[in-house]
Amino acid sequence: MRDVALSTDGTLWAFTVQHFEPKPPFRAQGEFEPYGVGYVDLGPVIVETRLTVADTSLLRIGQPMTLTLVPAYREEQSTVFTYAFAPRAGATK
Amino acid sequence: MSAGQDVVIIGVGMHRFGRTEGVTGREMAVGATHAALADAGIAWPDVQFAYGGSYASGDADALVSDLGMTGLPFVNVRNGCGTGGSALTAARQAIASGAHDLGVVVGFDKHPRGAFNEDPTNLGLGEWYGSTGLMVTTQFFAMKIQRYMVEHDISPRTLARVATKAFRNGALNPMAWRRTPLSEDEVLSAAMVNPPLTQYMFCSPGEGAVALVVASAERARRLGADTVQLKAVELRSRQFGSFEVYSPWISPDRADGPTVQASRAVFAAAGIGPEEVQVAQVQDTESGAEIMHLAETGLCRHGEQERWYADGVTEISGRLPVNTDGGVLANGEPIGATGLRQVHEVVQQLRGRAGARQVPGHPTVGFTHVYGAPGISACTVLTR
Repeated sequence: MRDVALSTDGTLWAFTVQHFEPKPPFRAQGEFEPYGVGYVDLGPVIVETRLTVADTSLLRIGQPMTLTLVPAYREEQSTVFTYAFAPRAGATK
Repeated sequence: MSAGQDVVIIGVGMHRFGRTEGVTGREMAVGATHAALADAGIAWPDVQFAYGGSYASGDADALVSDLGMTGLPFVNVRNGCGTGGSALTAARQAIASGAHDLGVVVGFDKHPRGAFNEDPTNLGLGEWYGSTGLMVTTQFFAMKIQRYMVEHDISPRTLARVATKAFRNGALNPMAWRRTPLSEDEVLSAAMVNPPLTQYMFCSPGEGAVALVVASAERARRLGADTVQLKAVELRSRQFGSFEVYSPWISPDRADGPTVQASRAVFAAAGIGPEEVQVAQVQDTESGAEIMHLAETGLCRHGEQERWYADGVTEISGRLPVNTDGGVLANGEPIGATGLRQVHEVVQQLRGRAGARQVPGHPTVGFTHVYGAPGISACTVLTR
């Protein structure tokens, strides 16, 4: 096994929005807010990911996306973050 | 008994699907088994082996406490939504090998309300996958059909047509859960669950039990039974690169999924082509799944579904009736039972015992396809 460095930029391969609060093992963070879920093509691999956008009218297959972090849940006194992808600012549509 | 025996189904039994207060999954399984034994005209002491499975209702082999402690070999099967298909695969092999000539296959479940949830570590996935909200089966189905609709020009109205057919057929099926017909517009305008799929396009986890009695053709002849031939059963798991439920990543070079592999193998084993199928069950976890699975199993070409659903090809009165009992959409998804419900329905269709749902014209070739997490599929070809 070896580590492969992936780009932090990719293109949106598929997407949806999670409109209902999943049961455990999902760890809720206060009141449920729908969140985007998608797959982003990074070249050597297509990764499943949270998205920063939860409105399908703002997303399209092939859209340029970039890596970021979003809060996932709270643990004791701190916030646990997870990776996510956001529409790439400045990229042509 | 020699190897290479033809395997037949001589009895089927079922407990109604949908929510039944005060009846456990076990009790449903016992009822379904008794019904199947009566249908076959045999008694439990005649049964030489059994395969059974349940995800949420306990160990199938413990049913002997209620059915009769005869000491028979009773194997538990656990393959998610594919459990019934796996159990039937094993049962068929037990008879075809000559090891036994009479057995029972039973699948049952009684799921709690709400969506399926699963511990990712059960599937070898990291805990983070679940805690951050990606371990949700509906997300996979939504994204797979999203791409499929774009690639093959399938409209949202076609998704609705799958659902309206399911509830229309469910209305004709006294054992179904969802028996109220809905209009296409009601389906389309329902609350969005995971876009593009609305609430009425998704199945719900549910309750139910199905049992089958399987036998060698020779034993069936001696019993004078009413038989349907289990011509072939094939089970496959996912290959590297196929896009399946609970995939934290996908390879850019994609492989055919287990549905394609299992269906191709079952038609080859049966010596029958998909074009010969006259009544079918394909896994309709949600509307899109029925659409995609029709093409993946070879029953239609990719993209043809748009025309098919506009023309009613998959209606009971159509050229290839699909999910004539309402499928998973109208019956719900008790995962241990679904694969066997599909076989139960096709057997009844081939025997001419499907009542108000009967496909006209005396169908003689049937097909079933079940699919489940984390990417397994089992298909059967049944003939009369």
